[in-house]
Amino acid sequence: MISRKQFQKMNEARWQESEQQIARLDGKGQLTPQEARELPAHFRKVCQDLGVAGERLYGLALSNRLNALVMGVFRHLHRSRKRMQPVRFLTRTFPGAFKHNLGLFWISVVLFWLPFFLLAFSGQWGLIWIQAILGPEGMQSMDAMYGKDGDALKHGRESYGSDFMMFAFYIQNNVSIDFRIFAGGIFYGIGTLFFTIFNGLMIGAAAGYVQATGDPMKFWTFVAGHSAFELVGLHISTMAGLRLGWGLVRPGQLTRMAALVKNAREALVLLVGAAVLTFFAAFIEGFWSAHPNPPTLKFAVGAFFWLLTAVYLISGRKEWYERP
Amino acid sequence: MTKAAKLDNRREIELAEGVHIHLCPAGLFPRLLARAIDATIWTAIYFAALLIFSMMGLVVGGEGGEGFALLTTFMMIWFYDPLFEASKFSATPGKMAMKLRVVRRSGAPVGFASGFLRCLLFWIDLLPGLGTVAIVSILASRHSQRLGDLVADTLVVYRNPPIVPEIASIPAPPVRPGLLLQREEQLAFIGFADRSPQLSAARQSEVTAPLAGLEAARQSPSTVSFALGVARWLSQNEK
Repeated sequence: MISRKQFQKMNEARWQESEQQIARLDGKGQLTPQEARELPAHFRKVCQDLGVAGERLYGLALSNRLNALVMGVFRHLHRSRKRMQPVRFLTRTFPGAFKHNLGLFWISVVLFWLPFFLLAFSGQWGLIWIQAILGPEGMQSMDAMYGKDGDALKHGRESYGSDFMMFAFYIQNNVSIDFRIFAGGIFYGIGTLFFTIFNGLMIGAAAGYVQATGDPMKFWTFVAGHSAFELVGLHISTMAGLRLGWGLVRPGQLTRMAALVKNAREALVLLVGAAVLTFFAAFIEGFWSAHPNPPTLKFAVGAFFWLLTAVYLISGRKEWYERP
Repeated sequence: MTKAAKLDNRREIELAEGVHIHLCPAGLFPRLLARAIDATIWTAIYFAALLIFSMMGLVVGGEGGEGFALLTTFMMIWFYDPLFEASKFSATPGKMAMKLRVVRRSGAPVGFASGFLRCLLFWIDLLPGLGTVAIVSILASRHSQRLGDLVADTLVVYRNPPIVPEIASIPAPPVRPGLLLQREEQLAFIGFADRSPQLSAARQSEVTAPLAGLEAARQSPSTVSFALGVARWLSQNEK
């Protein structure tokens, strides 16, 4: 066995070269094509050095230095330069992931629409439940927007008067709601259940309240345009949260931690897709929904977007989903 | 898991090349400090942006500026952390200041997806106030991971592991340990010799006190010189 000093003397030049390369890469510099081609071979050599130094008990100083060297090269070799592929994501990965989790979609639909209809129809037999959910402030703002003499189109725009500002508001508000619904899934899905049912109750109460006391036409013409993207976006973020929670509830053959990590990756695909849909919804809500157009046109546009969303999501195939 | 492994704050990972490397996950305190620095920088950037947009609002009319301010809020909340963590430094400014870095559990740098997952879970980590979930999770998990780290499969580690200076020579004559040493034990002796210049004399005796029961140690002047002697014997008189 060669001594530590001899080992160091033999390899010192190579190590120093690698250290300089790392320093250059950490800073602004780059490797020459020649150096870049040789980097993997250098890396394997340094890995071998580290293994040898550990095996022969060459001491902490040398081991730590080689450890830092291996980590440094590893960091740059394995740095992901993967480009984002938005087109591929939207045409294949996301619809594929949606189909892959179709069961969760139906659960999300029930979780939202059951409380929605319960509250919306409860208005027929008295307002007590709706009042309890909306509260005085909620009812006031609903009156201002969709009351008999309310003005849905001007609401929030009298003081600001700008489509762009409302667009920004809907993004900040609605996409953040999607993200929270997802993150709530970490509590075995319970946070997601809570937020989804809560949203269903709130929106159902609003619809029921307008139906009972206000001018329903104003309400339905306003929401028709963006409803498809917004509600489906909401359902898909619920799917993402349930996917995250499901990994903890039923990890299958994996440990709970491994299942959590694996499901989180799949849920992220769904969530990003949901965020894109919600972004479109905000765009429509900001720049289209509040504009005075004939109700038939508004309903036609709304129906067209529902059809578009349905065709888009149905077009996906399970096999398109690639495990990240 | 042995007692020694529980004490060791390094995480050993095996690379595809078959070699074992060590990462040092950062504990609660440096991470809290990093977050405090980030919060300061975050607030500064945020209010500077708001100021610019409200001035812009004065020029072009109030609404456009307000819209940009809302978009800034959205971007700053959800994209401050992941954009910095997906960069070359793999760290937010606060973590850079504390010499920390976010890595995958495999030791590879994080990408945007992992950074974004950590950030999404950050508001859960903040619950029910002052980051209680994160603090409990960091203290309780084996590798100081907050909930977001567990989900995204990441670690926050020290950028540069502590440097142990090389020692010129071990100040004790070589001693045979008198029994067969396991590999872990051999490493412990060598490690003690390498670190001994940084330990006080009292600490050195304390660390080596359990060796007093060995037959060979009783023949040495002290347990410290016995431990150093065994290290010298193991490294074949090189030091």
